Amino acid sequence: MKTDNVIYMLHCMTPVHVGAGQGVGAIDMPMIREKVTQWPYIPGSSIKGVHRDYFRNNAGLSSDAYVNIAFGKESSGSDTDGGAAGALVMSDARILVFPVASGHGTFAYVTCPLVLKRLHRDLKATHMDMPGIHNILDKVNLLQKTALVHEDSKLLFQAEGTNSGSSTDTLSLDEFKFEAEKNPEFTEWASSLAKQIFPEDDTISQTMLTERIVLVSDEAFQYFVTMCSEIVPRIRMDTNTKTVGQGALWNEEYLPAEAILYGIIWCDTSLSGKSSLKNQDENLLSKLPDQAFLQIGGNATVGKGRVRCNYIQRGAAK
Amino acid sequence: MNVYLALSKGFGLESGRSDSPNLLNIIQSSQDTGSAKTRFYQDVIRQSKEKWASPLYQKGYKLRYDQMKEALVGSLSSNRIITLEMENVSPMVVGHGGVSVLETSLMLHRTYGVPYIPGSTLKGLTAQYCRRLLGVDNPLFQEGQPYYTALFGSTSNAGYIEFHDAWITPDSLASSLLLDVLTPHHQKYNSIRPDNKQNYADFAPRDDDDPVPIPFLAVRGQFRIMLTCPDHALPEDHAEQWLSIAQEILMHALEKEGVGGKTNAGYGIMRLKKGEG
Repeated sequence: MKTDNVIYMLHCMTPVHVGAGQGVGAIDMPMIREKVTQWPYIPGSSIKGVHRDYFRNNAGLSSDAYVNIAFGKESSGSDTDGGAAGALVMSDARILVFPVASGHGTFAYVTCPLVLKRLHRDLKATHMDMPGIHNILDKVNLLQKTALVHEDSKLLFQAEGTNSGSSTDTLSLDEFKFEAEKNPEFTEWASSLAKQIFPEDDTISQTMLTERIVLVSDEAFQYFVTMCSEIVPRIRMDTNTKTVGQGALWNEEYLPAEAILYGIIWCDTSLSGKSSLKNQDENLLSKLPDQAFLQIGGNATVGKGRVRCNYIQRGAAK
Repeated sequence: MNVYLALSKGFGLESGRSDSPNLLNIIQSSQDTGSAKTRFYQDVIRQSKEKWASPLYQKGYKLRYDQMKEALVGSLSSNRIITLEMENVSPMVVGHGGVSVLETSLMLHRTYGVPYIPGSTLKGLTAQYCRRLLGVDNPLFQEGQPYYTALFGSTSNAGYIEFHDAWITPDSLASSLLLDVLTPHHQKYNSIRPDNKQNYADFAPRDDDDPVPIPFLAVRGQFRIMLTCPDHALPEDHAEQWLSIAQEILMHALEKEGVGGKTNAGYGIMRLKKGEG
């Protein structure tokens, strides 16, 4: 089987709200989460929709024929034209690192072993590999109160250790303190990850990631992604009284700025084969740019949902 | 240092002194919470100033600040985006009424911990100014009428204009937080509710009751406002016109009415610093 595929990395520049309808708890408008893990994600349908829009609005990038074949085509209603499914398959965007406010270094990019295991499995499915993941997964047995950091970490401060008089590297995430360990395997992996998430020339972003990335236990990660999302109260003012209208206060939940997600795009060659495309269009995936700036989810007119999407063509991951 | 974290959870204030004020002892102190709060805010302001004044510390925020604009400019033609910088003339309190253990709150970015003006605030302000003032002269600007709907949308249509979050400029960041104070006089008198059948004999505003100063944080800085009109169904020249109308209304609203809370007391007034006037 031909396996053409691309990994995409989404970097949220502003908060993103892909909603899950009306909530019943304190949050009126929750964001969508995976049923089992309760981790936030962005459904493939959202990803595919904004990509279709992106290609349609950037006429120089592709033809109508490309958009129809890559993203599918509606039936025109006649018997002979039944429409077609798109040849590009876009997976859900899964969480890779979640930003949490930090006492030192402003904020941290938080991830956990379960995230790495899933990433590893997904990368394998695309015949890519990320060196170093093995080393971390094999060796790491994280305790609740410990965390792994990069050797250049900016999150650390000295706090009194368990032995009197000694001091240990400590980091504070949200309201919790962790004992930090500078780990060589984690350092190696985080450095290579930084190069894949951000473009080559954006070295400051790469450094920001390595200085702020931290691996915590699955349980701690679970707490952060469920309790530390961005909750924004919204109101509607009464036009005449300039006070909040009756019943017009609601809370919306957002994936915070700086969250990073990843997903896979592959090409179903059986569908792209019977195409009427010109030669240069034939490899559908090669039309993807190096980087795209997209708007995903709700509240576009108040600046939400701006993401940068980086595409890693097969073989580029090293 | 993350001011958002410091104000909501009280961490990141490692000043080295064991008696340094923190959220817990502000809540626990039975009397004189005012001066405990004042010291706490002073600590936050001092540390925030120290940190953000350093170019090295600023680097990451400055990068994101620039990238946000680059990304928008790169994906839209120049007719479809307007950028301007506005600065506070008076102190500004956006998000003043938010839930906080400190009584008053302040809108801060959840990740970077810096002050910002949410796009929804700017859009709401513009829409309100539009229907209340422009709507008087020209009914087309009233709620539900064509011009208003074009700019701000309705429940069935999105508006043409996108109001982005206004980020604080990296240069004005270090000195952006101010300690301010509000002092309610005659608290008893003001707490009288007509429907409450109590004995209000000693509730008169006699000027011999103690005023209670409540310290709070306000913001003074420069903010980059970005408006875009990406709708490809709308021709370029129309987009440009709608954008300039939105910009004009927004600037007037910021200059004359002010943004955020306490605008009746003069808070939140801004003026143009840089951009197309």
